[in-house]
Amino acid sequence: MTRTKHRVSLWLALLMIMSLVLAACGNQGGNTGTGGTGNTGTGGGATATTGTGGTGTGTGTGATATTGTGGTGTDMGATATTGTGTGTDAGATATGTGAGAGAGAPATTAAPPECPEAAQGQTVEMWSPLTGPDGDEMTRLAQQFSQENNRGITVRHTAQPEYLQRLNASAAAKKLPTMTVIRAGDIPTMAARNILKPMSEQAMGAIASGNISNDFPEEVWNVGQIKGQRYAFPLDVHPLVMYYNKALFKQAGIPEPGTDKPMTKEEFESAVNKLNQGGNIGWAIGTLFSADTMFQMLVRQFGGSMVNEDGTQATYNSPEAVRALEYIRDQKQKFSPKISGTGDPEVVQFQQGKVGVVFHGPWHISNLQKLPFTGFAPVPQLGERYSVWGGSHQLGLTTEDPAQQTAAGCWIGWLSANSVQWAKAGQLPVRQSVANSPQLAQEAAPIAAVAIEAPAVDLYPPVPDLEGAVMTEASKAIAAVVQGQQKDVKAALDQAVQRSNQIIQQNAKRYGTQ
Amino acid sequence: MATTPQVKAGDVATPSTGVQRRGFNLMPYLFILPHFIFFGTFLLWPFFYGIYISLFDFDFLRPEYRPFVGLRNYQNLFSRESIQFTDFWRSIRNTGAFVFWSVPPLVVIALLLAVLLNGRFRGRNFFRALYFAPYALSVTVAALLWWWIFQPSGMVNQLLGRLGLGQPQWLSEMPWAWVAITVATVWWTIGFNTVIFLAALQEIPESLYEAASIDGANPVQQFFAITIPMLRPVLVFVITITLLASANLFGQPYLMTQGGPLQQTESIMMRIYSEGILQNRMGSAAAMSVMVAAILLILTVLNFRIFGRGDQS
Repeated sequence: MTRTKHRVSLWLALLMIMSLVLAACGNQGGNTGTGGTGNTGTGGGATATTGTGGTGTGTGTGATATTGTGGTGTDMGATATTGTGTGTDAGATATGTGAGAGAGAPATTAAPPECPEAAQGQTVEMWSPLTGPDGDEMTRLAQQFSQENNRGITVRHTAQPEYLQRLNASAAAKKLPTMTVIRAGDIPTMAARNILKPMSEQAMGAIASGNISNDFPEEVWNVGQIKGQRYAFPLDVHPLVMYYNKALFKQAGIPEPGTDKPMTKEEFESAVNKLNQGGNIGWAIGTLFSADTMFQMLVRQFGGSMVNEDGTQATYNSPEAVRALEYIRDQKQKFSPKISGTGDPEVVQFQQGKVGVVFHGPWHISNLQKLPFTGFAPVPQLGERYSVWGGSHQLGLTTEDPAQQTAAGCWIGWLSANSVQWAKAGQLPVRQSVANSPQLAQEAAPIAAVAIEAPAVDLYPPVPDLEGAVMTEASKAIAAVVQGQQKDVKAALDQAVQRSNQIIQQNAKRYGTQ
Repeated sequence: MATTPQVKAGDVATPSTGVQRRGFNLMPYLFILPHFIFFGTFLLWPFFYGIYISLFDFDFLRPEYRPFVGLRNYQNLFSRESIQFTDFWRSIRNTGAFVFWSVPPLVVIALLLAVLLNGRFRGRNFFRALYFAPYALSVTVAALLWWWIFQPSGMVNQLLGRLGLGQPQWLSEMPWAWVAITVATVWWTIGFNTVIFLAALQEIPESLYEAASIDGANPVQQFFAITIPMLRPVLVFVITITLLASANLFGQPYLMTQGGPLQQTESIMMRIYSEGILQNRMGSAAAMSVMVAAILLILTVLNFRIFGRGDQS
């Protein structure tokens, strides 16, 4: 009897050890896989940078001589040397681009003030949700700043999948980093939950001298301002991009969409109808992200709104919203009834060259620009006013330490002034002096193609958990309608709005707003 | 196997307590202390703290607002007007459906595999390792693998296309999404149950089978007359842990379907995660957890009652 038991437990022990060992191997396997994907992305980025570097080398000879090695380094140095004088920077930019005074001027406005002595020798730990190729670009910029700044500041960037959960856990353990890249919609929640700390005057002074709020689109700037205090500094916007297949456009004899103004409803609809033939999908509309973002965009384009102005009521059951959802359902039924599910299948189909037009986030630029047929344009205007769905990455501080805040300010100022470089990662610089500079078109052509979208991006009012309260419920209604489970659009939206309002009221009580 | 231990335990206990019959004996408590420290830290304390949290409107980062709400978080789960009601019970139903569809194959296939792997044939150890191998993968790897295989133009649909059969949207149509998740789960975890069955099979005395074959019983008869009855205690154990593991479904739908289509593959663990971690309603999420724990406890007891009957005699 005892022998029997021994043998069973021996088996079990062996089993447990084996599973532990193998699980560890399994995890490592997983990590390698992810790393591989990321690296591929960087490769693409690196190619682009080298190309630009070439431009810089051609004109800015002095700079090349000093750096010597990589084309990348040379070019960056030319754009904005983080030296002392602002004058030098402007000069360098003008030479680097070769565009003369016109190009030099905006860079002068964007150049940060001299970094205060208080920041001397600080290490800035920065987290972000940038887990794609954009994260590699951010790491590269952080390294460059660490080498170039004259206060010995080191910036370390760590991309965190599920960054909010990481921040929550670290806040509980009192081990928050210095700062974080934060999505605009998360700012009010994270400020209310004591994770984001107000930016000190010193930090703001290190970012820029004087009032620079008019260098940003109003909504993007205001979302970081809560109860009179500044909690976040805007870095970029990421609006929907209209990816189109140049080859299919040519084949159907349709002129390619321009980048200086959006296509009108008539132009767009006639184009996608013509493209929708010979087994090709004229307009690929998916579910989940694809349908959710299009709904928010069209509600606003049709003249409605998702929430009222102060963010206390959900309003997405208006006649305009009903019309928007019916439109999406009908178009999806017509063009791409079969595209649904996770993993952005609408983009996968586009990659296979069988789709005329697809709307998606700019994070697909780095992959899609490798395809010869991809064109980039602003999304069309299908309603009375022009509105584009988009998000915004902002920079928020998670420490109250004055020296740390100041050092972070120096880095934020540098990053903001150099957001043309950040644009290469596929994000649209939000600082208007940078976004409108001819440099952007040179350095990051695809994202420059949608530059007119930036002022048209509508964000939610800065109320804690508002976007969540709206979208968790709205997306259920959208999915039910788009996938044909719910025929009565008005009823579906009414129900969702009622539940959203219930959550909004609970949140107002919990966060003590109103 | 388990017929005599009660008598034995009594025999051993009496003489030892005879020495200090009335006095407090520290020794046994010292023996369990190491285990109790871990048990207390990682199971007992979190368990009671979870119950405590479920009585508050709780956000661990906002100690300034933490009102005591009594049983309201539980009440919400039973009130049609609350924002939790529909989602909570849908996810309970979903999880129930998954348990119903996944436990039988996980037990039956594992048992059949174990019987096969218990035979004598060339490369036996190789196959034993092979069938156990997927279990060693992390859920991410397993789910991602099957996510690829079940893509609209993935491997499965390519094969079905060649056979001239229909090609369902595996991950975004019902009931195919459940089929995909169940297949992935069975492939991933079958090895664990198989190994336990295999260990138990090796404990069945060879003489029983010899006697049966002399009596003229064929292999099928032997399986039902000897193998199954002899495996009963292990079978109850395997069914119980499989039941609990399936009820804790999280990673597969989280990665493969994100709970879709229309939240029809959203498991209860995904719902609790969403409620507590994504929407910061931790009190309500704790109440859900307590409810689920209660339901699982009842299921486990029922399972032992039904399948374990006769084991004590």
